Amino acid sequence: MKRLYGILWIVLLATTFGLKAQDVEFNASLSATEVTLNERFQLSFTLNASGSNFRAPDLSRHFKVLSGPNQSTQMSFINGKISSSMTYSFILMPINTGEFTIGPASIVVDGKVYKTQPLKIKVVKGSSATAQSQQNTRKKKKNDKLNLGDNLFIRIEVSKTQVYEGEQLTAVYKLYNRANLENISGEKLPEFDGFYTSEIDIKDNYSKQVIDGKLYDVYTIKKTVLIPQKTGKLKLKPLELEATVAVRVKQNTNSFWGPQYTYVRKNVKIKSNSVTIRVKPLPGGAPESFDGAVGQFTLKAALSPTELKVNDALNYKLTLTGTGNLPLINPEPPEFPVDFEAYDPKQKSNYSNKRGVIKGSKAWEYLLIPRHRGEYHIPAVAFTYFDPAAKKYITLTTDSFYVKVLPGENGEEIAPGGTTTYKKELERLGSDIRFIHTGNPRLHEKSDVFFGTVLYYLLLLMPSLIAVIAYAIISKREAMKRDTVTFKRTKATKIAVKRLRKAKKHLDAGETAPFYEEVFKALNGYFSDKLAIPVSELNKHNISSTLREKQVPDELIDEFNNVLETCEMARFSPAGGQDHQKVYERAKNVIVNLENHLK
Amino acid sequence: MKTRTIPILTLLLLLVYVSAFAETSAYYDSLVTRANTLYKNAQYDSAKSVYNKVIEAGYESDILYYNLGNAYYKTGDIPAAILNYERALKLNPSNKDAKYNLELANKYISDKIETVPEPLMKSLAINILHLMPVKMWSILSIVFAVIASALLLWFLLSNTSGSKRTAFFLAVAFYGLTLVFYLFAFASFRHIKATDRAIVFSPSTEVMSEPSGSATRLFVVHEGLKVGVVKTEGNWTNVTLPDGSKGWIRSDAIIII
Repeated sequence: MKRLYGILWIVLLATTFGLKAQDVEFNASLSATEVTLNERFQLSFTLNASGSNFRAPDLSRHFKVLSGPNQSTQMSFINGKISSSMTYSFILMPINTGEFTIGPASIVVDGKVYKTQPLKIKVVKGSSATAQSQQNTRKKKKNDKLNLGDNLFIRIEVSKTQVYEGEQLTAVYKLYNRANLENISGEKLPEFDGFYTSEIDIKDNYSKQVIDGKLYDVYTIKKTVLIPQKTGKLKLKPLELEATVAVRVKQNTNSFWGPQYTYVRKNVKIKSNSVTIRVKPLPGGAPESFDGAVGQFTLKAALSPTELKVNDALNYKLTLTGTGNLPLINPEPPEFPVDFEAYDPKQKSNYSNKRGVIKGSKAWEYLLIPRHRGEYHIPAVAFTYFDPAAKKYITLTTDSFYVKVLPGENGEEIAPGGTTTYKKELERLGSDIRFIHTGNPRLHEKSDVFFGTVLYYLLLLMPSLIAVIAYAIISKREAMKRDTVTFKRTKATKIAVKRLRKAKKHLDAGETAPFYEEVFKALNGYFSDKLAIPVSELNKHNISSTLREKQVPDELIDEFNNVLETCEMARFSPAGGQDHQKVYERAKNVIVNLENHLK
Repeated sequence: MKTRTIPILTLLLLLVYVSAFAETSAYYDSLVTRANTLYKNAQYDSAKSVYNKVIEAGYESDILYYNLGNAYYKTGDIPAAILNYERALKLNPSNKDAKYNLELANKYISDKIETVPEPLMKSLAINILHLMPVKMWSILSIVFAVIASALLLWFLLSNTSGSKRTAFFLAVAFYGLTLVFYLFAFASFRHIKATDRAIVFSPSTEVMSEPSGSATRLFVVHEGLKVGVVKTEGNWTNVTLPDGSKGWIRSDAIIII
């Protein structure tokens, strides 16, 4: 708005009033003489001098005052004379229908009171009944426009009507005038929906231009760089202004000097054309690093220094230069090593829209502080923009850097948040490791752990195996022994009988010594075989106890011992006159009886 | 009578074998002694290279690693010191000096990660396991196997029910102990042969979410940190940090203990 007023100040109204500058004129005017209910109209009081103490007529009886009094003052400098004019305007809306008279307004100029002429206005119902009159009104308005059409208009001029999303274009609003423009006012400039805008300062807003052989005064109202943020058809809304134009009318008074002209102020709405911008979406297949940058750019990364000590600072700077939607671009910084403390970047912008395009550079400066020694890599930054001229994506890659971080001053680095007390403690403990072991190092081969080797498992399992095998061998041998005992036992009687038979033969032959020997052997052998006691171990006591264990009756034991004794005695003293036959019978009976008891 | 001699023979064989263990090349023993002398004279770098020569020849012992760790410590190479102390402790967990010096060396590393305390039962088991080196557990298991075998034989041969019962219970008990010692030896062996621990050697390296340089960076770790190794994938190793979190690290940034 300010700018608009600025223009208005500059607009030099032509001195087409045809009046002497000294003549004070105070006029009232209406934007329409016939209105419908709820139709807004404007009431203006114009004074061609500077006055004071303006008093408006009573309007509130029939009208609703929507706005006003709005005062505007214009100064003109024409032909070396300064003239000023003042306008008091109201925007009114009728409350009732009917014909009303707007009373005079008064103002004081140089102590004199001036009054306007009363005005008549007809208020009709805004229905079909008044269609006729409305049509008339409209026709009238149209006529106004037609009359002014070539003389006063606004135009939107754009540098391109077809752009890619994010591609910048310039829009200029220009007022072309060759009418008697007194005053223009308007509501807010339309907003640019779907665009990022960057207004261009207008330095030289006035020029002259010839169109179709007619000379126009051209005023640049607004100049903006537009960057579409949406795709599709984006409309630049028309700009609507209200202009007060002095129109020359012929008066019916026949004067001596011929027809006299007067000028009537007319309020005219002027509307610009509207422009549709076709915003094309960016082509698909954008690289991952694309983030909406459109234009032509170069990107540079710089790092200094590349070798430093822990806790010293280094600078990483990204500079983007070119034309395009620079204000909207914020390239991703590289992933700094985690051991680097990275601060938020300082951003420096150095671009302008002076030539209708946004051009220049933008820089981001990162302050980095390494907190640990080591070799670090700062990767390259990939930045992709869309070049609308070449219609393709272009990816820029900056340099990547290696940073060598040396230990700090004290040779020790402090972890972030580390304290000095901690460090001191370390130093105290530092000289404190225990001494090496100087004895036998007890070296062994790396692969030698014994466990898991074949030998280990052999040694682990062998003893059990040996035990089992040993048991098997022992028990087999025992079994064999047991077998001979049984054999002997079963054969004992047979052998004894055999021996006794042999003894009988000796007896029959009258050989007493061999006879007794055979009987003795028969008894002893029988006993030994039967009870598995070696003959050598036999003696009287031994025999008695063994037999008693086997629960052999005592008489039988005595008899056995007696026979044995007798035989033994007879063997070594054959002289004894004994009944050989009887001994033989006794031996036979003893064996038979024992056989019965030892079953 | 002959049956009794078999276990005794076995034991003898065992003793011969064990004594053979102790016998190593005297040359390498002398090398260690020379390195120890260098260390005493504060020639740590020379001492290091001599100790390393012995290791390269295929010999090791907790003492060797401990001494080498000390030499690294003295020359300021903390990660290498930590690695060698850890190796010493791996061979002989009861090496108290190695434990002490390791604790000291660990104070120099940058990452102070809160360690998750191990469950009581597990730490108890580890303590018992580390009472003896794996070789001793192996020998113990063999000795008990021999005794148990003798008891088995006694059980098999005894005639009277009383002695048979005694022999049975004793044999079962000793076989049980044999099994326990075998399991200890096995667990200890697994521990020594394990490659599931490593020390970070790169001064500063990033732990990623995936085995790729373009993955999300999870943490940054520094030299000297002990990490657990889960598996390897190409040039990347999946590691667990002391606080239990997992990630992928470049394999050349770590050395297996």
